[in-house]
Parts: sequence; C-alpha cells; structure tokens
Amino acid sequence: MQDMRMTPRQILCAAALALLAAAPVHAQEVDANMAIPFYNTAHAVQGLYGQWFAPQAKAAQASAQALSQALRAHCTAPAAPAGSAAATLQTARQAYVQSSRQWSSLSAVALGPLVERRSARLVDFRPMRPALLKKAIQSAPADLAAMERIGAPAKGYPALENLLWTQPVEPQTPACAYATLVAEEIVAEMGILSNGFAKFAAQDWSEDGDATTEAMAEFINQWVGGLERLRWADMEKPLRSAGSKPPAWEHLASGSTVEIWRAHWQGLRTLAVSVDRKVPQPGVDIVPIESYLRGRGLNPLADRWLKAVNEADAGMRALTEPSAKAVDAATKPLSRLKRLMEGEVAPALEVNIGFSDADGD
Amino acid sequence: MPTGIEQALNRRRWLQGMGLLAAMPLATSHAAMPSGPARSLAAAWMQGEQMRVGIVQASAQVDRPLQVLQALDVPTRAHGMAALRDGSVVFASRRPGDWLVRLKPGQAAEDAQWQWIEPDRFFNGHVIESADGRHLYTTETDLEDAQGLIGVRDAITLEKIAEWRTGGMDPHQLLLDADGTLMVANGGIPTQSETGRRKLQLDHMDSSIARLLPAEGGALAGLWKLDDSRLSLRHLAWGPQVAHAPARRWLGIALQAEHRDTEARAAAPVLALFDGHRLHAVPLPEGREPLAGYGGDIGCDGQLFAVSCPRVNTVTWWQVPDSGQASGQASGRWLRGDAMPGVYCVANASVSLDAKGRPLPAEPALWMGGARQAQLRQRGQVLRTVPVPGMALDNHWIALERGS
Repeated sequence: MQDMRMTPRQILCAAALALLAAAPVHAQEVDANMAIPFYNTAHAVQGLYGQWFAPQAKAAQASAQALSQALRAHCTAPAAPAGSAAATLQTARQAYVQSSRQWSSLSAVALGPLVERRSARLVDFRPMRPALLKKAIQSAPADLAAMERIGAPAKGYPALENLLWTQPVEPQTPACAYATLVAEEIVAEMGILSNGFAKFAAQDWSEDGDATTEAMAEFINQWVGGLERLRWADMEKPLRSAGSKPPAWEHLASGSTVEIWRAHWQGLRTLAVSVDRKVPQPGVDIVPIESYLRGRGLNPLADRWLKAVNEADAGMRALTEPSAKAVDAATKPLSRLKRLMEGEVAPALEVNIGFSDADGD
Repeated sequence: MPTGIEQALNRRRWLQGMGLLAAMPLATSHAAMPSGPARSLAAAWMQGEQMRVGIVQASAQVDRPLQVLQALDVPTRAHGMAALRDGSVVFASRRPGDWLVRLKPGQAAEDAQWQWIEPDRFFNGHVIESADGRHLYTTETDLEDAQGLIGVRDAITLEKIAEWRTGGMDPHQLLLDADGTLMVANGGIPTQSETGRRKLQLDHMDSSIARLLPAEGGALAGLWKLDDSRLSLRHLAWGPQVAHAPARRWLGIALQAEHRDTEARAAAPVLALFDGHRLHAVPLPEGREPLAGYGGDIGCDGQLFAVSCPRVNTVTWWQVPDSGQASGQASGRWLRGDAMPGVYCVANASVSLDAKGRPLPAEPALWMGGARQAQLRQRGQVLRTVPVPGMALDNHWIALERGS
C-alpha cells in the first residue's frame, strides 16, 4: 500500500479546485465534470465511518430488535386459534426480510469491527446445517450464554430463515423458543457492531496518520471484496456450479434473494458514486469513490467509473427474479466494474489490491 | 529418470540448439528466426474480457501466432495446471478459488469435468498428480482457521477423499520429490473469508517449505523457513544435482516479497534454494537493478534456474552453488537477465511425472510467455519467437509432450 498524503502539487491543485467550486458546496448538485474540493484520506475515512457505517449499524441493530420482538410476539402467542398465529408469523417474516436486508447493506463492505469480530460467521454462516439446527433445538438452550455452545452453522439469519419458512415454528414450542434466542443473539451482535462503529466514527482521523492511510486502502480492497462476494459467491457461483440441479441461491425459501442482493449492491453503490449527485462536504459527508477521484482531478476516470457503476446499477435494477438468464445479464457489468477498479481506479488512488485479478500470484 | 529415448531426444535437441546458437547472433532477428517443431502447452489466459484455459501450440512455422487448439471459458481466473498421464489436463482456480476443471484432448468445452470446492475451503491455485496416478493433490485453505491443507482427491472423480495439514498458511505450489515425498511451499500470507481481497497481518507472515509423506497419511516430515519472514515462498521447480549430496536435486523457489517498505520490497531476492536440508535466499548481485521483489514463475534448463520477473520485464538466470562449502558461491549466483516484456509463464517440467511417478527431467530450452510474444529460450539465446496477439498469458503454463 502506498502513501496517500497530499503532495504540495496536489495541495495547490486542491486549492484551485476549491476556488472553482466555491462555497457553499453542501447540498450542491454536481455535474459529472464539475470541479469539486480535494478530499484527503481523513475526509474519506471520516465520512465512511461517521456517515455510513455508524448509522447503518444502528439501523441494523434496530431492525434486528424489531425481528426479535416480532418473533417473541409470535412465540408467546396462544397456541390457538389457527389464523392468529399465521398473522404473527407473517409479521415475523416481514421483520426477518427487513433485518436481513439491513445486514446485507451493512456488511456489503466489511470493515472495522465487522472484520475484527468476524461477524458474518457469527450471524450469517453458510451453509446452514439442518442436522445441527435440529440438535440445537433439542438441546433447548436457556439463554444467550447457553447459545455460545452452539455452532455457527445452526444459528444466525440462515437458521431463522429455515425456522420461519422451511419448517415454520409454531408458538409455544421449543423450536420457537430457540428461534427467539437466535434473534436475540443477532440483536446482541448488532449492538456490539453499532458501538464499535460509533467509536470509529468518533475517532480523530488525522490526515497524516498511518491508521487513516491504512483504513482507506482497506476500504478500497474490501469494496472490491464485497463486489466479488455479490457477483461471484452470491450470484454467479451457484449458477455455474449447479450442474444439472437448480442453482442453490441463498434466500430462496423466503423469496427475498433479489431483495438481499439489491441491498448488498446499494451498499456498494452508495460508497462508489454520488447517488444523489450532490457535492459531498469534506469531513461531513460520505465521500464516495467517484467524488474522491474528482477531487484529485481525475475526472475522465471518474466519468468512466460513474458510467460503469450506472451500468451495473441498471443490471441490478433489471433483475426481478433469480434466474439463470437474469443473473447472467446482471453479473456481466459487475464483472466489468471490478476490472475497472482493479485495473485503473485502485492504481490511480495508489492502492494495492491484495489479490487483484490484474496481478500475478 | 528419463528413458533412453527421452535422453536421446533431449541430447539431440540440445545439440540442435547448440548448433543453432553457433550460427546465430545473440539477439536473433525475426527474419533470421528458424522454424522448429510445433509444441503444445497447457495454459491459462485472458482474451478480451473472457478468462480461459486450454491447449495452445507454438507452430512450427516462423512468425505464425500462438494457436489455440482447445479452449474453455472459466468463470474466475485460473492459475496452475497439471498434465496427467492419462492425457488430460487439470486446471486449478487462482486463490481464493472455487473450482478445478479437467479437459481431455479434443474434448468439447461443455464436456469438461468440473469440481467445486466445499463452502469452508478455497483452492490456492495449484494441483499435481500423485506418484501412483490414483490421486490429485491440491493446495487449499481452511477458512475456519486460515490454515493450509492438501486436498487429496480421486483422480477420476476429482472428489476429495482426505485432507492433510501443510504446517503453515497459504500453501501455494507443490511438487513430488523423486523419493515420493511431497514438497509444499507455504506462502505464509494470512487470509480469512471476510477479507478475501486483503492480505492481512503481514507482520504475522509465516512462509515455509514443508515436506509431507504421502505414504504416511501426509505426515509432516520437515519444515524449513527463511530468516526474512516477509518473503513468501510460492513457486517451485526441481534443478540440478546437489554437488555436496549427489542423491538430491536443488529445489528452486520463486519468491514474492511482502515488505511494507517499498524499497525493501523492490530490492528483495526473487529466488531461494533448498538442498534437502538447508533453505536460503539467493541475494541479488550488487550493482544490478532490483527485480521488484517478485518472481512470477520458475523453471530449470537442467543447470540453471530461470525466474520470470514480470514487474521488471526480465527473465533472470541463476546458478546453484558449486559445493556446500562456505565461499562466495555458497548461496548460488545471478548469471544473467534477459529483457522480455511482461514475461510470466516459464514451462516447468517438474510439474509433470514420468511413467514411474517421478518428476520429468528438465529440458534444455524453456518456453516462456510474455506480454506480446512467447519465446523458446536457451539461456541468453532466443531459439524461437511466436507472436501472442490478443491473449494475456497467466502465471503458468506447462509443455505437454516432448519431441513433438
């Protein structure tokens, strides 16, 4: 990873651009080629943690709490009559999709506490193992401390999807009690993430600090990693590896596959381009990759980046169902986007991509 | 050991090469380039936006581009490959990889045999055949603990039947030794599933060369490390006999430097040597331009190791130590560097096995692939040049049959 601090020439360039842009820049709409302020790594990292991860983690915590409450309401509902349980189940299912979507958005780019805690393994381990889930229910854990003895393949969102759709839990049953604990565990993890990201957001990200430079390089790398998880691991790999069987995409049981993919993509997109076409205010707003490039005078590359992201976005919007044809069409622009990042954007930002397709091994 | 026919062919080709050398200036012009026998190689490449694996052929006709005899689109980048003795070629996906694929001669792409790895493992890019031909060995990572393992696979079904721990992280290339033991380069770079694109905790790098015993369920028989923990041991080739231990051959290891400091990384060695007991890095000669700390591939011509250094567009040639005594040459030495734009792949005979399950002996001239051309090189001499239009050749390729 290279030093990303400003050179004197960059400072002059930034000053000139800042004059051109003129105040107030906040909430100002930007044309693709409009000059905008120079953003240093501190602005970018501050925006990332303060305006993206901290609020996203808070929202993930809130949606997990709503899921937990909905499950508790379902599981404590009277066992009869038929119909009333179905309503509470429906509410819990909606809460699951909302929470799962929020988690997908938060974890689209895995940074900070998400990596340190290996949260994806804790709340979203795949593949879920039905046999282990059955055993876990039979073991009837009483509380979260007891849940620590149960392995990740029987917990988290995949286990809840199974308990809400594949074999829907009935109120007042051990399976329902277990599902409630699984949801509570997710709430606890989201709470820890929320606190963790709040601390990162409150940190003083110094322009000259090694930690800031490292965080920016980490962000670019993990953005590519998140794109590859969506394009390859989530969408294309199940299709290519299916053979004669139907592709085993995730979230098919809940019918939320496309919704979850889109949430993941929106997480990536928000950090990639100025989605509202406003000029980010340095040190206040999210500084997406596009703005970061423009701030450095790299407008032609930023234009191509914006175009590639928009093409990928169009592909994801056109995706209405998880089918071979639709997935094939949607993943092609994602693949082109990855190549542009690895081949041109990351080098322009002087960031080494750890396992880049543009390099040897 | 080579058969009598192979020895005769090798000797004849060597003599042919020497005869050509005598007749040619050092830098051969295209016009003066002789034709030679066609040569098939298993390769991986990118064409436009499509990644492919397959069989290519360097034509016998002068200036005729590299021909694609057989091609298969692959979903992610490929890396290493192994030619099995049944005539098929197995390609491994680049780390973090998901697939292996077998291609048989003349087979239609849709008939290729795919094998997908289980969700909590990934392939690290290399595969070889076992000595008895019943199994394949693949380098893999366990995502649970980031530790390296060898996947032991049925050679027919490609399905995993056992796993052996490699004693380190990030196992990369592996080769069989003539005694049937398995040499593995543990690259030592930590990874985890959450950070598939990021090299983590490089301060904790732990690269090593491991010797495993297939006959004893993959038991670890030895582990050797360099003093500099930021050097990742990655690619392997068997070299000439060890002068002080004639029963053994030098193992050459191409290195990838991971130093945080840019200058230290650029000036790092690109080759390490292992004589069966001692592992050491070969220092760069004083006064030479640094090699950017990256050896992309390695081969051997029987006497010298050739290490491709694509970041400085150079093929480097290295001599092994004359003896085990402490002297100026005790660690081996740089012999020469030849310019070749974008040179990556060097045909490595060590990957392929003879009928008795031992690594094939080296060939005196090596096919190398670069940015725009492939060349058959015998040390400083370019014996043939083949244009490679529109194809970006990947790290590795292997020659398929001899004397064709």
